[in-house]
Amino acid sequence: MANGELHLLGPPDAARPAGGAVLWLAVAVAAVALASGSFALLSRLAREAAPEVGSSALDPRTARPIANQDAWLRVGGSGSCIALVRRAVAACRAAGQPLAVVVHEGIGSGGGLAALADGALDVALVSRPLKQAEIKNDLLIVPYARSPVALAIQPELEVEDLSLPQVEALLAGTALQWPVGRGAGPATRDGQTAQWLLREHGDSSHEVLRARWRPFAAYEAAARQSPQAQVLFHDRTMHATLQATPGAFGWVDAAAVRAEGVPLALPKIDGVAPDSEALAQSRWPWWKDQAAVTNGRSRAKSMPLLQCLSSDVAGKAMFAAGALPIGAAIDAQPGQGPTQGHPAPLPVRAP
Amino acid sequence: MPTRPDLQPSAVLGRHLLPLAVLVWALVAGVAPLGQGLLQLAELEDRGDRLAARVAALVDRETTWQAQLWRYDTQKLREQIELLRATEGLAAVLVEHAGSVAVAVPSPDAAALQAPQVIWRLGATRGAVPARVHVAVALAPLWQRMAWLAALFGALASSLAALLYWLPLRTVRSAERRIRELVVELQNSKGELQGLADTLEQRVAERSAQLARAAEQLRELTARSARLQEDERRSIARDLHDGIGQTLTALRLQLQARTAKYPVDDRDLPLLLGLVDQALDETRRAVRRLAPPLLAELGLVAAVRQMADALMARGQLTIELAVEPADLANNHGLGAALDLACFRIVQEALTNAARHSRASEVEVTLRADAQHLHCEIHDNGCGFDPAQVLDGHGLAGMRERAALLGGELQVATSPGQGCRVTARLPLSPGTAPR
Repeated sequence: MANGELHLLGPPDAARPAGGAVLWLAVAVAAVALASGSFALLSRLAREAAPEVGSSALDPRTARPIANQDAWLRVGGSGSCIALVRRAVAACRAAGQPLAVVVHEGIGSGGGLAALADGALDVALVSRPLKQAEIKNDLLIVPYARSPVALAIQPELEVEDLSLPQVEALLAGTALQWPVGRGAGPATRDGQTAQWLLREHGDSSHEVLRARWRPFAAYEAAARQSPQAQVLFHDRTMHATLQATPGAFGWVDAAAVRAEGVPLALPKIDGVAPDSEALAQSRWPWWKDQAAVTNGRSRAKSMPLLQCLSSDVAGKAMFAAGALPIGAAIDAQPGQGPTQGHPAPLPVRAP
Repeated sequence: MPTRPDLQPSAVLGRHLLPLAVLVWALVAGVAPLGQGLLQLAELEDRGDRLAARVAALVDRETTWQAQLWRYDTQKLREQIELLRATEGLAAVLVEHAGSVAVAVPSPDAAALQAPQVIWRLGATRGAVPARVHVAVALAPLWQRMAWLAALFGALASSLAALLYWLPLRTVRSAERRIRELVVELQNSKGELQGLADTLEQRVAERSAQLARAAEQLRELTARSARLQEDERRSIARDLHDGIGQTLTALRLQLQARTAKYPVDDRDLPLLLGLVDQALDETRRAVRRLAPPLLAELGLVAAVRQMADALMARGQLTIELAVEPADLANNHGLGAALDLACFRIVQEALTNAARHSRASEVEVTLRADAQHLHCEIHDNGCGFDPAQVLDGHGLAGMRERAALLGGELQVATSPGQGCRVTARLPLSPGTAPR
């Protein structure tokens, strides 16, 4: 200590190594490292520009022609119709009617009509009334079957009969587990969680239910809001998922299920089975009509198929599949296609 | 208390702690959000890749089932992709086929799709219909997480840095204040101590001066006492010589005259003459002891030499006398007390050598320097054990004589090794040998 000064830290800094400078150097290094990390992050993000894709929407007409346009009749449309038409065509062929028909997988009624308009299909299969924008003057609409919209249940549940309140309980979500009250089959497996498998909003079966069973729309809307809601977009995936999901149920085209031979349970409701007989007796409340649509360009080419669908052979095959053969060929007029509760139901052909 | 800034511990510590605090702040506040951002970005990219692959698989399934007709059912494909997008929280999905947008959800030109709000990941179909799937993963969760982490770790880093900087500094400043107080106290104590030391030194000096004066006075008194003692001895010797000696001499002369004039009894007179002669001899010896006559007349060196000659005349000893400087023999001014003390010491030592040591040779050295007169008597006799003899052989008297003059006397001897007596006597001022 000199002159009252404290030398607690040794000589002045000028005489010692510059420890402060080393620390500041470390600060600088850390700052550079952080800046480098930030730069790396930002540069990676900067590379994430929006993809350069064409601005035009996909034009379906750019597709290559399907098979041999002249030799084969190209049929496609609603997935509900596919299986039934395939079965009818098979029956006609078995009866000796030569049919060169390609029935494509379902692309929806609207897709079938669009493909028909583009010439990609010769016959469009529809399972709903045509929309105003879809109706053309040269369209020929041939209803051929009425199929029941039914509740399908995972087959292992072995449910054979349900009451309408039980069905409502299932749809409302108040019945969370199988069996649902009384009326279930004797071999019903207890304890399975009931899960409603939904179709997309535009599915024709669900549209029928919304139109003909007022509470259904509310049940469906609530079910779609559920986080556990599972929506399926094709008949085939619907059928497969219903088979594979324990406790699953959902609304399907019963004729399509039977025509495809899918092992799903289609229980009676209040003692009425969803089949062609119930439809013929008007005991089954929910059904939809199927129709084949052709236009002026492909009308002549489509005649063998239309005749097949109107034949007794095909009618029997469709009846056996649970569908009710209906209708006759008519010229296209707005609102007079395959009907779903139209004021003037199409005539039902005797099976 | 003036203090240089660079010598203040708190200032020095503050300069060292500041970069450390900044470093801690930068590392804690920056590394966690940045690291989290990079990791989450990689995770989002991976998730985008997986979802792009899922969408591509979906497109593959649709196009495989529907073959060329899938183009007429893109609405259903769009709904499926939209459902997947909503479920997985994707910002957008674009399916590109043949340079056209086959499916775009929610819309290709949405403002939300622009970077850096999203990152785009690419997938591709593997089926018959080639299509590229662009999946936009929203970065909002990343920014949100980074913002939270930045806020959280920023606050944490600020707290840590503040504590790191403030706590040691506060402690050191507290210690610094205490040290300054102690320094002030120490300085005050030092001042008081300095005052006490000054006082003590002054008092010691005074006491030392007093002691010196007392010692000088004692020395003067001792010298004066010695001089008075010698004067008294010379007076007694003179009285013995002039009084008793003359009387005895006159008595002897009267007895001799009476013998010649009155030869009455031949036997008694010689006896009386013998007794008178004996008394005269004793008187003369007493006179010589009290005041050696030659010492006053011839000086120290001559007196010592005469004494040595007298002893050698008895045939017992061989005595060699050395004088340094040589003219010391001519110096009559050493002082009577000093001469007498030196003479008596030499006399006692020679007497001891003659009586007790059975020595054959004795060396006597008289040497004077500027301050002292050194007397050394060295014999080759039998010596003795100083521990047993103690103050015998007149050693006490010799020491007393030396001490009376402020000098000292040392005896170096051991059995069989002879004896060396050394006296160092201070010269009085003005008595230094010329």
